Amino acid sequence: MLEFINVNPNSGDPIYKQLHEQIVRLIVGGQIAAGEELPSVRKIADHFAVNPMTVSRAIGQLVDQGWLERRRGQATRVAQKTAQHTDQQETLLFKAIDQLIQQAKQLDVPQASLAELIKKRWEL
Amino acid sequence: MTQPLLSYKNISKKYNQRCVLNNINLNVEPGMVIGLLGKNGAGKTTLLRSALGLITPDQGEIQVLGELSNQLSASSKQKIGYVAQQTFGYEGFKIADALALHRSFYPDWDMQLETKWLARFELNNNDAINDLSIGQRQTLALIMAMAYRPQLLILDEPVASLDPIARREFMSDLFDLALDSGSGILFSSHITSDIERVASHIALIKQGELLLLDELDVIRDTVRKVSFREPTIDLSAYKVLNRQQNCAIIYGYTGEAIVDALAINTLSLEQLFVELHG
Amino acid sequence: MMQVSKRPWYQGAVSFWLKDVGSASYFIAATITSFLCLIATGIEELITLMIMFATICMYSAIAWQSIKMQATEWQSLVVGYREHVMFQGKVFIVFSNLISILSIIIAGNINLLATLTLANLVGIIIWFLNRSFSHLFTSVCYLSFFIATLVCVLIEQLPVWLIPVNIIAYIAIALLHNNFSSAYVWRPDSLSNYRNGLQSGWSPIPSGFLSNYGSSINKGLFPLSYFVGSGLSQYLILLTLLCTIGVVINLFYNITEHVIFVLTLCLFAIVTLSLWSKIQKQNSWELLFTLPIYNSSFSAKVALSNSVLKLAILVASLCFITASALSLANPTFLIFNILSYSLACSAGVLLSFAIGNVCKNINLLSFFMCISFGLNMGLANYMFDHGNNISELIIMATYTLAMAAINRFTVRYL
Repeated sequence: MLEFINVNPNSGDPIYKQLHEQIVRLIVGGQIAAGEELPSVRKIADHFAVNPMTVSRAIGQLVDQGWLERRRGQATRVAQKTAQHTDQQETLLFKAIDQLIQQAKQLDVPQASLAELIKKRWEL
Repeated sequence: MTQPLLSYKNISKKYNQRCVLNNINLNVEPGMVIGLLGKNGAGKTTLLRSALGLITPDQGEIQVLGELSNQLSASSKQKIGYVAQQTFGYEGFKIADALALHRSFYPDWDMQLETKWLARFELNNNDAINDLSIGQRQTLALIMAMAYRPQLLILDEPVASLDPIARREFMSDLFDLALDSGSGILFSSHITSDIERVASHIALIKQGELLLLDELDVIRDTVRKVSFREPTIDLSAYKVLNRQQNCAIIYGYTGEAIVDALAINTLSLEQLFVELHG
Repeated sequence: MMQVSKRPWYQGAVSFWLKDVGSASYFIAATITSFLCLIATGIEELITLMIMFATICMYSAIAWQSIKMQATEWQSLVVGYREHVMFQGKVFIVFSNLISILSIIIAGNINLLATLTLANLVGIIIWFLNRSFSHLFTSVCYLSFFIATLVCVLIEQLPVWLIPVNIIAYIAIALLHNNFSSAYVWRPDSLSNYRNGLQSGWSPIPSGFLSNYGSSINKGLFPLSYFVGSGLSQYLILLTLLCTIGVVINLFYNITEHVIFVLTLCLFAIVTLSLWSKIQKQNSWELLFTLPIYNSSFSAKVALSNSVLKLAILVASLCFITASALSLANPTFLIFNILSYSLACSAGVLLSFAIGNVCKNINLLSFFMCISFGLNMGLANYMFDHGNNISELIIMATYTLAMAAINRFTVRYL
């Protein structure tokens, strides 16, 4: 699963947020299935050459929010799907959509044309 | 509360009337990796050297492993690792000879780490140190500073001359040291992306003053660039790090709306660094 | 796990003392001269000078190491690092003193002990000054060498009462050194002092000195002056001044022999210095090759050998003029002696630079330079004293031509 994740230390977002968001996406999108084991914090940290504390902060938040499950003495696993997961499907797009709308406004593209454009591109 | 490995208390230092360090307070605790960020000449090297007792501050007190930095005992010195910007002291040696001699000064030398590093960075035991590239010398200095697993590691621009792959390898070993051995690390660097990866804490130093000191993630979460049109904007709820005509860098932002603000943007470490020196 | 006590005292000594070019140049000179003392026990004038030189050189090597100590952060951080290096230095001092004492016993002259104790006193002053002030190295060393040589030349036998005086002064300094609390303290400027010292080698002249007057000489001697630096012209001007002073004094007191000796000594010292600077800048070749004046690297090398030849001709004419002027004060004009002497000097210059062409290794170079220094000094002085017939002049001329050829030929090994 690590190959799906991309960490960019120069981005505006802190690394723990990037990890958090991308793992959520992978869970919601089904690229990592419920019950699947996550690599150890150390392994993830080594892979991205980031501080293990950063990784464990991201994992900790994901556990707190119910995305992951951690049992004593076992590897961290992806939790079973809940209603929350499906809600997220759409909210995860908000940021990208907001950006798109902002750009459309700046270029003076009306809402209807934008919708039309999305449809066109979707069908490519 | 554990005793800090290194603590600076109200440190000031002047060179020829110029203030190099101004009232610095900083603690390094076990497990911390503090990235010291600042322009050339901001006082980073002076700060690091003063922790070793090489430079005595005009004011304030530096404690290293519970002792004053200028009166370090032999046993404390054996627990400190230091890599200077320019390593110097084993000219004329072959790598193997230099390591053998250096090893003999430290009772707790980790031969495995030494061998691993030599192999990893393709350093040949028979090469003369004078023939090494700057990066290779730096690697050797890192081996010499880390092979005895120091409790406090002080690194002055340790990775500047290493290639990206060597830098990553080195960082992963840094974590071994900081997290597994409970050491504290204070390192200076210009490479903000490295600091972003490695550091647990950031200390940003500008013209001898410690402008910002906090957990890296807290800084990233709560530092924002606010743009505005009216100079009357009320930013009193935050610590303003830098204020220009139409924008300001604030610290302590928690996601609320700010009246009169045109935009509130996150900043990468590099952007923050540049903005603060604007 | 390794115990600290298992480290033998000599560990790293070769690298510290012989591979560091700064310390090596003093250390090797000291060692060679020390052993020569044993051989030279019969020649009274020489042994005084050599004991003095060997001891002060050894202290200079230690002083150099103590500057290095001030430049490296390790000495204050690594427990035992400085003590280890300095202990080696102390062992060498004791060793060199033992050899000197042995040669004094062989020579059977108690006055030499006064020389040795005085040399130790001067030496410890050099060392202790440099432990605290790294920028003083060259000036302190030169002042000491100058004073020491002057003492040896002016006072034939140092009085015996100096022995206890020197020893007491020495012990006093050694005991009081704890009060010089700044000894070995790391300093930010020490590293640049060390590097400067390395660049200028044995050069006693401050870098800006006489630079205006020397530029035309330097231009004429390019590319040699490129390697040696502005020092080359400074040395030549200084040497000329020295000769003039000698000639003037010679008009009133007859010191011809002394002037010739000092001139030859200075000349070959300068040649050694120049070679030293040249070796230090060996990697500047690349820059020279990229200059648009040479068609190939070989033509640059040939140009270098031509400039050495020019230097040799300059030296020969300087020697000839000086020796002739000195002879004016004498009833007879010894034309053969003067010519042979001048040729011997210029041949010495050519030989030294030929050695510099061939020797890449700094230790090897130091060794051969010491030998050629002795050879050149001996030959030149012998020619001035005894080269009074045409056959010797012809031999010298052939020898000089051979040296010029060798210098030109060895250029390819650069």
